[in-house]
Amino acid sequence: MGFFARWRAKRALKKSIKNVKKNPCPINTVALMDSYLNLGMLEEAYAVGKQAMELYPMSAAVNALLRKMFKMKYDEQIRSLREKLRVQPLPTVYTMLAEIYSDMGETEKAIELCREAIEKFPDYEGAYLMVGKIRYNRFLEEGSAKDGCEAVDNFEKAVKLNTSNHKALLRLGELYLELGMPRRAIDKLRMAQMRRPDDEQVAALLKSAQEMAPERDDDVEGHFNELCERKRAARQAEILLRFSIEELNKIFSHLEDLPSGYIIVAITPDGRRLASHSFRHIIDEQRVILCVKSIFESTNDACQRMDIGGLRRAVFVGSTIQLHIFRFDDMVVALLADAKAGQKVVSEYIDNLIDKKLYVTA
Amino acid sequence: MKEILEELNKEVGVIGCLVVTPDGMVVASALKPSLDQDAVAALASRMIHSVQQAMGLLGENKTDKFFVNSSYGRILFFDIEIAYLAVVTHQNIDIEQTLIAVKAAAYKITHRRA
Repeated sequence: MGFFARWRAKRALKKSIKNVKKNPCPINTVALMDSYLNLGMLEEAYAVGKQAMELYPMSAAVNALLRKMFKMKYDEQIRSLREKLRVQPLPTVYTMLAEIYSDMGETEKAIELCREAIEKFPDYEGAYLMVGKIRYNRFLEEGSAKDGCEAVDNFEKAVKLNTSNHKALLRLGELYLELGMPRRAIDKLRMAQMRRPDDEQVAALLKSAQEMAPERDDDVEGHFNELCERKRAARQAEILLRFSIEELNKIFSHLEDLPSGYIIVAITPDGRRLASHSFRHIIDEQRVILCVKSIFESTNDACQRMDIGGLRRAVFVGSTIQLHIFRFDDMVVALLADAKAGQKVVSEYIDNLIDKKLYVTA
Repeated sequence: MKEILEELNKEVGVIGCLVVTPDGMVVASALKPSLDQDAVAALASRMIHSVQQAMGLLGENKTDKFFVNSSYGRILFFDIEIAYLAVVTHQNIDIEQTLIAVKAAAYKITHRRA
């Protein structure tokens, strides 16, 4: 890059930083990532991208740029590790590759690799730890009992192979404590304390565990189900949105026209109406809400049971209508349009709604 | 039909696929070991059934295709007249590329049967 081009790129970066500070939203964040990339500052772009992914998980623009960056960052490493696996499949190579996929958010691929490693090297603790870590993070994100059980199961296997694994012992102690199983928690935390008597976190957790009444049974799955049910009920009682219902109604009332659109509705996952806007008054809103509620409930539940997490976005295309559904925080938004309109047109309309309206108001 | 599904499974990011009727009967399947055939078939048919019923509320008698993106994966459904072709994939796939392969498989299945 020549002197002037670099000077221009630096000026653009300054402007992008200013814009993000003034108005943090997906579009400005993507511009900032782009500015870093133009200056070859991949690590900085990557750090911004990781934060953006947490702040704006539904942003198509952020996700697309992040995928491009992952490709730039990891493509060569993935190729080299795959080649190593082909020549000599060592367990450490499996977990290194799984770590990369996990960082890229491709947890299914990471788990698949670990599964392969466990089949070939059942006494290698690293693969169990990796799966435990992935499942634990998924449990925190999605609140699924299956992920929690799998995390405990894999950490237990890792500890069985190496009783001095401090991280796994600590994580198990925390999980058992959260589940209301202090006897199990004390067992793991004492093992951790034996190896690191000065660890203050372990001491504090142990104290909490000792103050709790012991669990009535050893059914980890049952305890996870109860915990997840409690969390679900708490979330249903309080809808978590980045903005008020009034603001949401204001966004909907100022929506640009979608020539092929019929109606857009926002509801809670259990079917309570939050806001709506009709593009053409030809379809009954109550029917749309009933339809969206029913589809969301069944598909979300099926996805979770298939172990691929909760529903994020979906499209249903018939011969006369197309229905687009997406999840935003604690609400479900659905847009109904004519089937004749291109699916891409409606998808882009939704991308813009998310990036330029919902996240901006937030 | 199994061969077509196995061929489709070779596409990047495809974890498994099956042909299932809305009442849960599996016509053919090719699923990787991480997926339990009975569970996937039951859940897929439940999804098809409820989507058909719900779309019926809006006057739509036939859902030709539907794609569901979840946090860690995707499921693509294509109507192949008497049943649906369901394809489970990883989350970050090149959807355009995969859709071409899925449409081709759906076409082959429909025309082989005819």
